[in-house]
Amino acid sequence: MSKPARVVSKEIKMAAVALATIILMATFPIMIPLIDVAIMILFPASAVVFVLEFASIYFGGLGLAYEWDMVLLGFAEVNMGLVLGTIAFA
Amino acid sequence: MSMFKNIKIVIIFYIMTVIFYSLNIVIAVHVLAISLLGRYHVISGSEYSYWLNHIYPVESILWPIFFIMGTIFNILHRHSKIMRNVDVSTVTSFSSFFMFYASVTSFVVAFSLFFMGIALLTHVASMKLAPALSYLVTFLTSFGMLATSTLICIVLLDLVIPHSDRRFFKKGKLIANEGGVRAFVFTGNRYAGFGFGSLLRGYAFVFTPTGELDSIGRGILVHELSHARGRHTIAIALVFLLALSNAIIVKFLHGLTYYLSILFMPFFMVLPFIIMRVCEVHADLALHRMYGEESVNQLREVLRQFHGVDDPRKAPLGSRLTHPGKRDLVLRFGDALAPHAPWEFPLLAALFNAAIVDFSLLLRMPPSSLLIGKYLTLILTLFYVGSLISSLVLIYLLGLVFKPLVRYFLAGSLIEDGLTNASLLLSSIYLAASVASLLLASLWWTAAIAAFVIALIIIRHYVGKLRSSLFTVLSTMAIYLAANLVLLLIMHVTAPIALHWFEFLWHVR
Repeated sequence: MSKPARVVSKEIKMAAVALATIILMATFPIMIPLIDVAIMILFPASAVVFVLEFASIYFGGLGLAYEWDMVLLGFAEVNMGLVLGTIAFA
Repeated sequence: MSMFKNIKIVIIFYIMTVIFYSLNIVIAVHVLAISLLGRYHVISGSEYSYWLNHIYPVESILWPIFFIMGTIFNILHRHSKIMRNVDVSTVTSFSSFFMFYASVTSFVVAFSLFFMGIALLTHVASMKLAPALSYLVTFLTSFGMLATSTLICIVLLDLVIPHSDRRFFKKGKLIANEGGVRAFVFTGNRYAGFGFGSLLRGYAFVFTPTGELDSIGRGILVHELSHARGRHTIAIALVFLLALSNAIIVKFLHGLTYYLSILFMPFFMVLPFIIMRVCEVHADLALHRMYGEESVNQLREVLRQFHGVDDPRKAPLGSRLTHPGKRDLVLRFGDALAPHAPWEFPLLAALFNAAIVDFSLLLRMPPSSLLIGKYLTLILTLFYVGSLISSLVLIYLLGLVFKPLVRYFLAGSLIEDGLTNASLLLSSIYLAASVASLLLASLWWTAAIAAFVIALIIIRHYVGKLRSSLFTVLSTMAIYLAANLVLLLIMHVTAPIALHWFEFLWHVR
């Protein structure tokens, strides 16, 4: 049941690193924007990736348009439209 | 009568019940999305009422119909197959006995629910309390009703079964009748066991190829007796009812309270499986206390008969979901914490945390914002996933911090895997208490006291020594509170700076 001292001391080091990580989390609100700015300066292409990501999240909300279409066209029409659209897309 | 002899028909009816019940939840989510759009005048009210008036009732009627047919088929199946047939095959005996309890009980629950509960719940839901309190009152009312009707039904079945199943019990040999638990040995086609602990009495069935109680049969008997004496069936049934009552009240809640119920769904779906694994480990612990290391060989023999493998880690997934893969550790060392996988307790706590953090975000959102209203589901989903992942990370980091302390105090009582699980269990409890204090406002300290008491009871239960468990909980909690204090102090500096930057960006725009 008892572990060799080497393993225990390694475990204590890991505990210290974990504790330091947890405490450093309090600096995330200022560290993350700083890191973001640094990345943007070093790699300008990352700004494009950010815009694409933002757009995909923003337009991801278009899934709700399904319900909206249903109001205008009705339940059966929209479902048929989905089926036909899937076939056409395939 | 020939169709009643097939257990598959009964099972198909129950599967259809489950499918229709899950459809209920899917439709409820849909109705929510539509009602949100309706609220912000994106759609008219007629489409909303179309769903409510046409789709929902049809599906709500089909669910009880499948349920009633499943129950009737089950009773007829028992009558034609089990009670009259001389041959006892192990699988049909389990399913028939257990499903009789389950189906009659659930039928009474469904009955009481639809004819008594709806009025009560709608009344409670319309009381307009604060959202979290309203959820709690509705949830507890629904759960109390379900639990009461289940327990009453189980007591009635306890009184009926010894008379109705006399012919079935006569096929086996009564080997013990102590403390309300009756143990029988049957001649089966292979080694198997089934333990059922009800309120008034319990049953332990052991199946052996010869019909005699050999050494392996005795091992199975101890395991099943532990299930019956510990009333594990009642515990698991009540935890399942928690999930069921949370799913049912979705229909009666509106607005913020509705979201709380949806957000808690994953937590309540995972909870019964974890409790089931805890019960199995405790039954194995009883086996270890009886036979010591010999019990490992008994387990290997049963596994060889059942699944064709002799290592519990290589058992099929269906077995490993309910029985932990590392169950040989509890049989060999008597450490009931070690068999649990290291993801079990953190996952449960993380699901709980994600639900409450997401809900507290919802409470702080401006309700009049059109943009938030339109993308509310998306925002909540992303935030749920984010808080789930971050609380998992925090729990594992805190577990690493606690591990040396837990080893210092508990190294003599738990093995390596047990120490890991104990530290993860402690960090899960503390973090869940911290998150629960988000909803408790000025009563936040009750969460700290509750965390201390719960952690102490659980660790004392697994370790068996009050002194060392007390020191473990005290020292880890002191570290946890100190880390929280340091975080708070640093945040006093960093948070205003971040807010200042954010406001600056806002003004530039």
